[in-house]
Formats: sequence, structure tokens, C-alpha cells
Amino acid sequence: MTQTLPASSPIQLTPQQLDALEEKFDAIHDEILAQRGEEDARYIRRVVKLQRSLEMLGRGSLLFAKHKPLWLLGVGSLSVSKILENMEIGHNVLHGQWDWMNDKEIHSTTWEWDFVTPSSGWQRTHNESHHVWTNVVGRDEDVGYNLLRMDDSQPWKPKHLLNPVMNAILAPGFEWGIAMYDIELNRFMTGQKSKKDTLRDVKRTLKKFGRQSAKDFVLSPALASLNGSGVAAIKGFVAANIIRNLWAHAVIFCGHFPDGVEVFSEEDIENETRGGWYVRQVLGSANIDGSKLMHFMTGNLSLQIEHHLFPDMPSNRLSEVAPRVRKICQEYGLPYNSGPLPVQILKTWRKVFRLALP
Amino acid sequence: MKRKNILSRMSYAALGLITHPQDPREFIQVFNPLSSSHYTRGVVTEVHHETPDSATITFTAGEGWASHKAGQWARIGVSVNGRRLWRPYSISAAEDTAPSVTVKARGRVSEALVYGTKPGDILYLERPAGQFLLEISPTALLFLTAGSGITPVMSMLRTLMPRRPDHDVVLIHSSANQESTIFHDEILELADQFPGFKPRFHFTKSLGRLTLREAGQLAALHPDILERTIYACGPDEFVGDIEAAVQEADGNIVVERFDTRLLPSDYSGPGTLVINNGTEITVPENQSILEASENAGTELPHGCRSGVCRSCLVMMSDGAVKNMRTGEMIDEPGMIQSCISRPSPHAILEL
Repeated sequence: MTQTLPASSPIQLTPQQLDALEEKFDAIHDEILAQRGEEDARYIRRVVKLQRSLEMLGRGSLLFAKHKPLWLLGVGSLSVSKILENMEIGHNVLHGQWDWMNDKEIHSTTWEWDFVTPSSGWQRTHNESHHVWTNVVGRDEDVGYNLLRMDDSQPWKPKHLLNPVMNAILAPGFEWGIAMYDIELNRFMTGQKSKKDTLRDVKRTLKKFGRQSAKDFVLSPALASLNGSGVAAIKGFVAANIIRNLWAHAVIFCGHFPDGVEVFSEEDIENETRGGWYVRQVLGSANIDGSKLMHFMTGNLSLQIEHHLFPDMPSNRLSEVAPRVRKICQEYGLPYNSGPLPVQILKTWRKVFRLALP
Repeated sequence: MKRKNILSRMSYAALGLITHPQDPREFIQVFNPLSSSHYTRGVVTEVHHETPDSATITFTAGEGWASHKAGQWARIGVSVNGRRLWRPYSISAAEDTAPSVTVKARGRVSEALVYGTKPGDILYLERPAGQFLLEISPTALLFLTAGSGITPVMSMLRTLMPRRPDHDVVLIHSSANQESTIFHDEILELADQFPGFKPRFHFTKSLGRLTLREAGQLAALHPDILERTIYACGPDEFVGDIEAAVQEADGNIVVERFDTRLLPSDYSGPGTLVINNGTEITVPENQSILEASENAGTELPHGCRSGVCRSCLVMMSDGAVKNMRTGEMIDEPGMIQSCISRPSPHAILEL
């Protein structure tokens, strides 16, 4: 069962403990941020270069997709390149993790990612709503994306019987789901978002949707058709997009929805201190255990707890701070939710099925 | 030239249909480091040490650069411990030759350029600018320079003397001693080659400071000084004194002052915020730029007010801010988080 803080939570920290906790997490944050330097900059530049090389290889190969090995090479490299572009680069750049480099080529204010939802809309729902109000039902719409019932505290409606079906549709179409979600139609309906802002976001999204689709499903296949690879190329581009979406969906869902992750109410966070905010980030997030390669391919979102504690910390530093975070959690009796990918995915889907019923 | 521009813009637009949302130039960058849609980039071709603590860095510039005129300067950005920092430098190369800057190792950027640069490294560039330019007509010139003030003048001499050997040019250059004098040997060689060029060095270690506050001191320096067009370049005070003295004597002078910036400091008292529309706001101690601007009736973009979401990023064009959470100082132009930053002690925002 999921629990809420503070009333029903087993974790009761005194204000003094919360202050001490805040100091410890702040110290890790400030220490790592002060260390950022040439090597970190070199890291992100190398990842960007790798991603661009893979993307060119993938797109180039798919132009000759009628040859099976080139189709496979194309789909493989394009999938990996899109995953890197969205997660280790896009997500983290749009968080401002690399803004300290003072470089417009890699900056949260200039980056536009290879994902249907425009960067600007996503930054608002993600950086502002989700990261500040993490798992607070009613303020962080990421709890179920207005689509799924992901917590007991969300009232059951008959449409939730379709929970598993909706999630099965959402997974391969994840980027389109996120694009819809970022328009915040629900907030428009309830009058929290103006017509003007909503219209602006709809226009931006449609434009991005058009250009993204034209690139992958029309123009590139049209080029490929010059040598008779058109149909194979369409299949290849669709495959690469679906692979990226399935992977992103799996990783994102493992970050906040496995069993044991807690959800909060607005009353829970009244008078919340920074220490309390830190506790909420730990209780509201879950990690995926894995190798260096696994962390890399998830954009280090497998270290979701650390990412939520320190959203502006460059992703390459998260694995370094994870043991220290885990130790602090142990010290204060905070559950540190972590498990291998299959286990976390299973726990997530189990919840999707269970919450379909009242 | 124009047709080439239109053609390249059209081909970028066409390529951009496939590379969307990235500009095609970001992909070309994988093969060609000069390619970028965000900056004019340059590649260092040669590093020549002039004195133990100064170097001339020659580079090839990519798209967006314009050939320089003698006497101009350009802002150059380099990565210092991962962070892009910018400084303006006078261009020392003659007109119509490969651009170069001559840098004395003072300050983080200059030290990185002098000690840390090698051929193949990337430089970030802004177009040459500045009004310290050679006039074509007069043939009797006098250059008065101090320290690094010699660099734009060197560009002028290298451009001027081969082009018009009939010029009558005097250079009076003030520096600590011979060893620390950038271009010392080259200046003497130029004088050998062109009899119309007469350089004179004033070494302050042995002769003391060159003060030129009054017209009388000018005449003592060089007999026909006021009949010449005078070019002065060097530290603020040096140039200011000469300018006042020459104007007092009705002479003709062109000056270049070294950029005097708002001095950043690690500071905690009330700060000053200037917004580009002219609004000046005092930021009390313990208040962020965001709070102080709102209190003063100026709305800035914002989100969470706690430094998490980064909706409050604004462009700081000059000055410095201190991060109220981490104590980190940012004293370079760039985006800053207004909700957790305060001026230290001055910051200028571009909205």
C-alpha cells in the first residue's frame, strides 16, 4: 500500500532531524557543483558528438533500407541515438544541468529535442510542476498523466478499468502522449490556463508534430525511395521511434510508479521546509539497479532518487553521489527504493493492473 | 558573395528538414569544427610566444566572421575549466592577413589563452569591432602606447608601412623593460625596413612613469607632436591624461581605452541591478533579483522561486551575481537564475 506523509507515514522525523538532513544533502549538492569543470564539459560534448554520429549513421543506413543488414544497422543506431538524444542529452540539458558551461550550443534556453513535445512546454510541466511538486496529487500531474490511475488516493472511475490498455497504448506512443499532456488541456478546462496560452501551446505542438513526422515518415522515406528503399525505410523509422518510446516509457515509469513509492496530498506539504522537500523527493522516487551502460542509456534516470534530490546536478555525477545518498537514507530510516529493471517494470505494471479496480 | 550566402542558406534550410529540430550545422560540426549555428567558431592555427607571459594566437575563423580593419578588437570566448568565458582582444595581425590576437597572461581568460592554447583548439568569436581606425589621409602620425596598448597599433604598423612607405611615423611605447615588451624585435626590424618609421621605447623600470598631463609635457616628448595625428592606446588613466593634454593644445587625437568593466566582488551588502530599459533597482541584502524587481514593479519571468525549475533564467550582459544558495559567483555574461541570484555588487540584465 502507498502511504502519505506525515499522518500515515512510518517515517517521522523531528524538525531537528529534518534540518540536519537538509544540511547533509545541501553539502553533497554544493560540493559536487563546485567541482564541475573541464572533464564534465568534455563528457557532455563527447556524448553529443557520439549521438550525432549515430544519428547520421542511422539515417544514412535507412536510406538504403532495402538491404536487410543496413535496415538493422539503421534501426539500431537510430534507436540508440534517439534514446541518447532524449534522455542523457535532452532531458538533462533542459533541466539546466549544463547551463553552468555558459555555452549556447548546450543550454536549457536554446535546446530543442528530437521528441514531439516542444522543449518549452515540457520544461514547464516537468521542471516546474513535476520537480517542485513531486508526487503531490493535484499539483504534479505526472501521477498518471491524467490518463492512468496510479495511486489509491486518486478516486476510481469506471474508465480506469482500461488502465492496462491505456498504458499498453501509451508505451509505444509515449512521445505523442507526452505532447498531448504538455498542452495541459485539463488545466484549460478548469480555467487554470488561459485560452491564449493553450492556443499557443497547441500551435507549437502541432508545428513540432508536423516537422517531426515529416522528417521521419515522409521526407527521409521519400529520399530512400530513390533507390527503391522507401517502404523499408518507413518501417525502419517507425521501428526506431517505437523502440525509443518503449524504452523511455519503461524508464520513466520505473522512476515514480513502482510499489513502495509514496504519494502526497496538498495538506502534507503545508509549511514544508527544504529538508521536507528532500524527504519527499526520496520517498517519491525509485531507482533502477544496473551497470554503467544501463545508467548511460537511461540518461542516468535510473538514479531517479539522486536526480530528484539534485535536478541541476550534471547527470554524469549522479552515480558518484548515490552511495552517499543511500547512506544518509539509511541513517534516517528513509526507504531507498531500488531494484533491477525487470523487477521495477513488473512492480509498475502490477500497480497499473491493480488500480484498474476500485 | 551574396549569391553564395543565399545558396548556403537554402541548402541549410533543405537539410534542416531532415535534421530538425537541430540545425544542419550541428551535424556538420562532427566533421568540421568551424560549423555551428550558435556561434562563429575559430580554429587555432599557430601559437607564438612573444615574451614569457604573452603569446600571439593565430586562427582561422568560420562563418559569421568579417575581415578586420587595423586597430579593431574582437571578443573571444574560451573554455576555462569547462565554463565559457569571454574577453575582448585587440587584433594584432595586419589587414587582409589571417587574424591573430596578442595576449598578455593577466586574468583567467588570458592565462588560458597564453598557457593553455595549442593549434587545433576551438575559439568562439564575435565579429571585429571598434572605432580605433587608421585615417587614410595624414602621413605624419604619432603613436603613443603603453603595455598591451601596442597590440592594435602593431596591426596598424604592419598594415600601414608596407602599403605607404612614404609615411612619417613615430612610435613612443612605454613598458616595464625590454624583456617584457611585446614585439620589441619586430618593431626594430620594421624600422630597419622602413626609414619613415621611427620607434622609441620608454622603459619605466629605469626611466620612471611617462606622465603626459599637460601640453608642455607633450612638447617635451616630441618636438612636432601637435602637428601629427596622434593615436593613443593603453590603460584608461594613461590614455585619459594624453587625451586631455592634446585637446587642451588643440591637437588631433584618436584614442582606444582598455575596456573598464564593472568590477565583480564577493559582496553581501545592497546591490545594484540595471535593466536594459534604463531601470535601476537597488537590491537589499538577503533579497534575490527576482524579489527586488517585483518590489520595484518590474516583472521578470519566474516559476518555482526555489532554484529548481529554471523558468527564471534571464540574460546578464555585464556585472556579476552571487548564487544565494551555493555562494557561487558568476561574473561573465550569460543566463542567470534571477530567483536565487543577487548582484555582486552590480549586474546588468538584458530583457
